[in-house]
Amino acid sequence: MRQWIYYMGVLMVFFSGCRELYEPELSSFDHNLLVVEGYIDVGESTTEFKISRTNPIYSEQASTPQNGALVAVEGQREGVWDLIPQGDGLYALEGSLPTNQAYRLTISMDNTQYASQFVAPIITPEINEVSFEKSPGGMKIFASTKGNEEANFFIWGYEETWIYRTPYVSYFEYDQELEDFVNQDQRLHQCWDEENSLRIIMESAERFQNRQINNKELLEIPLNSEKLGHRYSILVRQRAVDHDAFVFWESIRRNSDDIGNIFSPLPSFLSGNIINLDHPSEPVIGYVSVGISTEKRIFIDRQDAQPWLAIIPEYRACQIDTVSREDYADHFRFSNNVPIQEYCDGFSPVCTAFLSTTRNCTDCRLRGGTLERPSFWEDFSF
Amino acid sequence: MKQALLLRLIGLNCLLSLLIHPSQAQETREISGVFSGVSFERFAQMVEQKSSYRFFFNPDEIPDLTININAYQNTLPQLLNQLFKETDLQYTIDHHDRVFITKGEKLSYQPSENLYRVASEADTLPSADEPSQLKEERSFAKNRLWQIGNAARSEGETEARLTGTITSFESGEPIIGAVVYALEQAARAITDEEGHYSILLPKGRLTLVIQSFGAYQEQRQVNLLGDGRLDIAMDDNIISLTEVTVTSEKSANIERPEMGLENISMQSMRKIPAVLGEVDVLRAVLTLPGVQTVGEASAGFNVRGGAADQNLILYNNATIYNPTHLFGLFSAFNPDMMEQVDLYKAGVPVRYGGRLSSVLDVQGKYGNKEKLEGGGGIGLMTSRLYLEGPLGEKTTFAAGGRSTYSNWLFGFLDEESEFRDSRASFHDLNLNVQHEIDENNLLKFSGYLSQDAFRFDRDTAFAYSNQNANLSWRRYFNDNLEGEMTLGHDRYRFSIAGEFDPLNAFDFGFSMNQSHWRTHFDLDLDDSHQLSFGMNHILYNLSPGSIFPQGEASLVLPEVIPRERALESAFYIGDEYEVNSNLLLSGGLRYVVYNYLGPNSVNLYPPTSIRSESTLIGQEQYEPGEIINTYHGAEVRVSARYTLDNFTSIKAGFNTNRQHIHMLTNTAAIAPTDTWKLSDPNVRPQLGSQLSLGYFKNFENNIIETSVEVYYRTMRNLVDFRSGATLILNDAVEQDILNTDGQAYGVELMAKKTAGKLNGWISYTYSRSLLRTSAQELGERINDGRWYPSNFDQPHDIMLVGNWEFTKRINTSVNANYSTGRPITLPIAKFNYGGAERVFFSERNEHRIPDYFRVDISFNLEGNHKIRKLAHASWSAGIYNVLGRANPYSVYFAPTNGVLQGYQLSIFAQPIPFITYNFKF
Repeated sequence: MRQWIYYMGVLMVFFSGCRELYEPELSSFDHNLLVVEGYIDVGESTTEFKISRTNPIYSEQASTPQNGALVAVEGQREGVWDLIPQGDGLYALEGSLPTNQAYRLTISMDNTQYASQFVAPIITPEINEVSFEKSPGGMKIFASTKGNEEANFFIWGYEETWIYRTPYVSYFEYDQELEDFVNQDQRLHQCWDEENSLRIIMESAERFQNRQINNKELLEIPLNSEKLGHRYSILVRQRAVDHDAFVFWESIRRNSDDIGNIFSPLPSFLSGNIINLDHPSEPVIGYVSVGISTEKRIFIDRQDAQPWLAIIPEYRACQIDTVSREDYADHFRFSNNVPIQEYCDGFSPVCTAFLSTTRNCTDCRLRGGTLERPSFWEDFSF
Repeated sequence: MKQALLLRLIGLNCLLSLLIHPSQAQETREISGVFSGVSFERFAQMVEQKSSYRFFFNPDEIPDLTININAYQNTLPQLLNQLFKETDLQYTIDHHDRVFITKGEKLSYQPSENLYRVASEADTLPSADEPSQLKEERSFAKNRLWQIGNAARSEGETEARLTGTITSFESGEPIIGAVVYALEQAARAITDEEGHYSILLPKGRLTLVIQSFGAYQEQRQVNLLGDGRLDIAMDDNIISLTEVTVTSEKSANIERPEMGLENISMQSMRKIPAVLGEVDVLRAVLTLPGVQTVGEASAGFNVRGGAADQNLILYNNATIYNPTHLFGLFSAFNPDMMEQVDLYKAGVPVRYGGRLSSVLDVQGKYGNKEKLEGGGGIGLMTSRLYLEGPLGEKTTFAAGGRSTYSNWLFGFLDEESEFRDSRASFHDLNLNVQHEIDENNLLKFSGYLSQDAFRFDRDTAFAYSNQNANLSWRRYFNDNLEGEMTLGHDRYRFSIAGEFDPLNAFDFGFSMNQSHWRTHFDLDLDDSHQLSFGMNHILYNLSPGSIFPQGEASLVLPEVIPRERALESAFYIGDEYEVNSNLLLSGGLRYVVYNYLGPNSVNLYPPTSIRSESTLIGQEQYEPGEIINTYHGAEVRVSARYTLDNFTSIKAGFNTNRQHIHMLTNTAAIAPTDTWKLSDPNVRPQLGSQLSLGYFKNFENNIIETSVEVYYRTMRNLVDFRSGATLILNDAVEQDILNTDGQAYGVELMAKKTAGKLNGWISYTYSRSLLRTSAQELGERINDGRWYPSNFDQPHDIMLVGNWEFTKRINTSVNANYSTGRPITLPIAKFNYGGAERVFFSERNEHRIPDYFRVDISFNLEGNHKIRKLAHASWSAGIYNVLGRANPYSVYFAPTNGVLQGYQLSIFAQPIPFITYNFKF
């Protein structure tokens, strides 16, 4: 159905329609609604909440983090666990909670009390398989699982991690004081980068025979993406939620997927299961679910994707210069140039020049990656 | 033959000589001599030698006449009188001393029947195989001066009688009923069955005019000297007159009792500029005051603040559930097959019911009795063809079809475009047959099929279709009573097939079947009472939705929402009572009984709690045919008209309606994939009432009609939906329905010029349409239970439709429309959630899209008037949205460079030219 609506919109444009900017005057409105996003994980995983405020529609920042709130998880029968502020609107709680009771989230700040409804934990079934398959558009990654009586509605998230490398490796460094080359202790050519899911991926097991969800598409890595240039890993997190949460997430998903087309559903918004205890009519955005999430990690190696020409646009301009001895100082002092290795002419034992390139072509960290090998990383093995 | 020709030539000469020597007097000369035993030929020669006389005769006619005569200073007439005494020969002497001998009858300048066809044009013309000369001669005939009659013979008289025969130049057949008159003269004559006419006119120079249906007007310059004869051949002309307007209808808007009835003739519909050149019933309806739409390409229309599903669309008694093609771009009615369109906005006649807002009654053609005719049109996207005519003596038929070739448009798309694989096709077929059993019994069959199929890529295919058939029998019992019984079946269905992934391939379907039986009687009780009564039964059989896996690999679980069945029966009686010549009352009562039937299972909820999954207390099963529950109630239809004078009247009306079928849609426009739901124990029937008042006044002999109408409507049990409702494949849809109240009110002003070179109408409507979540609703309250504007609340609406007729062949039309933008719910704040930016919406329909303004023009050109053509053609060309104004159809928000940006989307943002070729044969 979604597809139909999308195509409809584009077809409308095709019928010589057109698109123009539209900036309506909006009524004055208190733009600072509370937004709560997170999951009370009663299992091993961290319970983490992100608390923020809405912003006006035309502002650059989507939301403003809300710091300084007192956030706690409250058991219906017993126990209160305070979440520890992590900064940037994040609050976290390590450790597992008893699974035999319902929980709610409470937030208090500036003499205002917010609380979610009590939600009984749902234990998420295991992910049966995370699989991948090459597609015309790149590489698709799927998850399969099986629902049960309690767990019918699933929401997935993922964390991608991959290795990328610079085109050149620098083994030396130009020492400004010595005015000579010293061995580079650290190799800077290989980094790990990561990305989190931005889409809401959800499915109801009720639709399928034996509640078996097979090959639910999580994402498609675009063709020739750097992610599959060397080795790639994806951690898929699966959470089973109750029906109301599913409806809430569906409305969030629709919220951005199809707005404003004439055939799209009238905008609707569910504010969720959190209320302001003093002013119940104040909209609060967010749905607190409780349970144990399950995760599964797989690795995809470049061999799995062959042929795959990983292209990193920033590295396309990388070139090598040959710098002769007399120019070393000029070339390498206080510059962005980096020595790669000595250049030895033919079979001559005397090396008279140095090969050079720019720093961004040897230091992968400049693209945002980290040299630090993630703890979960497994190297490729036959 | 020879003589005849000879005589004719003589006759012509004669006439010419009269022209040349009009005043020459006839002299008398004496002849002397002995003519003994000579033949007449010899006698003539002898006379010729002695005098200036010249003889003209046919020797064969006087074979055995021997002359024995002794003449002495005798005049020739004396001699001839003597000679011809014993014979039947006659003579005539003209001004030039020419002597004409004829047998039996005297040759005369007077048109003496048949013999002396003085001025017959056809005779003067060469045979028709010399066309250029023919043409010349014929145009000459129109401009030359015809001398008719002999002045001498009728001296003293001021008037003369002109007689003659009017024939068709094409066929030579006499033209019956042609009107003959002279300019500036009062006298008129009409030709009889043989084409003969006779007219008394004053002598002298006259311009004679001959008019006839189906022929060009002819003129002759005549100098009428005395009684005479003039035969005229006329050219056939197919288009010589404009359509005849029946003037008794003229003040209909004043006289009719009912209010809010709009009727559109096909002629006026053809003049309205159309998108892509398609004459469109629905688009024409939108030009009427009180009718609005949410967008240009949307299937539905909104009448007086009512939802699109509150319109009953009938085509020859069949209910059309989706009256559009190509998701609303075209209406599904073939314009060639339409006879008339009536829209009842208020005062719905008592025989109709089942919807709250309006009845659109489209009446199709059943074919003419005279001859087989056809026609069609070729446009940029569609072509159509129809055929109508008699099938034997008592049966007529009309059949039509229409199809698109829009697929070629997709072929133009960029190779990279994902729409290259798109396909859209539609067609509709009509067949109407009428059979006259005898004088009093008439049988009619009407069949209709429309189908649409489209896919936007290789993966998902959509299709929908209407199939309708019905048979009706009309009987005239006596002068006062007539009845009609109709049996029919209507079917509407749509399907979506998803094939993108073998594991998830599915086939989704919805279908609506209804069988109907209608019986209607009209009874003229006496002069002042006109009764109508009858009953309607509709058996609904609805399949709300089913999904099946497609292919072996598919893991989609088949799911079928149980069928819904219901029987809606209505019994009605209405009376139109003419109290006196000024006051007319019309009242009707319609009692509707609705039974929701098994087999089905019904979800049970505690009466005082909200309906949700958690409050579901059980299900009750019902056997086939078992009545699950019944809704019944009366509908009232009353109206009154009071005429103040011949040109002014006041009308008032009140009516109530019940609707048991609800469209499940949470989009602003009707999408072809909206499903319907029958009323059941959890979903109550929609109830509506309308009070309306109108003032009607005509000016300039009914050429200008003006009216003011005000109305107020209330509606109950409308369906709105909970946020995030799932409407497809939901077997507990009542959990998502919010019981909603509605109210609508407005004033409609209209001025219309019905005749003249410039005609058309201008209307202004102020109207509001508001909704409110019902107070009994325990669940979600939209906008905290306050009134909010409906999706089609467009308060100001101005419509101008103007036609200018340059000539009978060329006319141009302008259509201009302004309306307030429709309400919309806008995002007003944003936040991050689920890894991406999301928006927070304002209250329902708190904002509006920009106002709508559009001007269209069209030119209609009738083909030339050549008679010998394969087909008679007309061209229709024009521009839709001349100003190229990008009227927003909808607005949406999308992130651009990280900032959410609003966009307005328009469908026809540029001027869209169109051209259509129509033909008739």
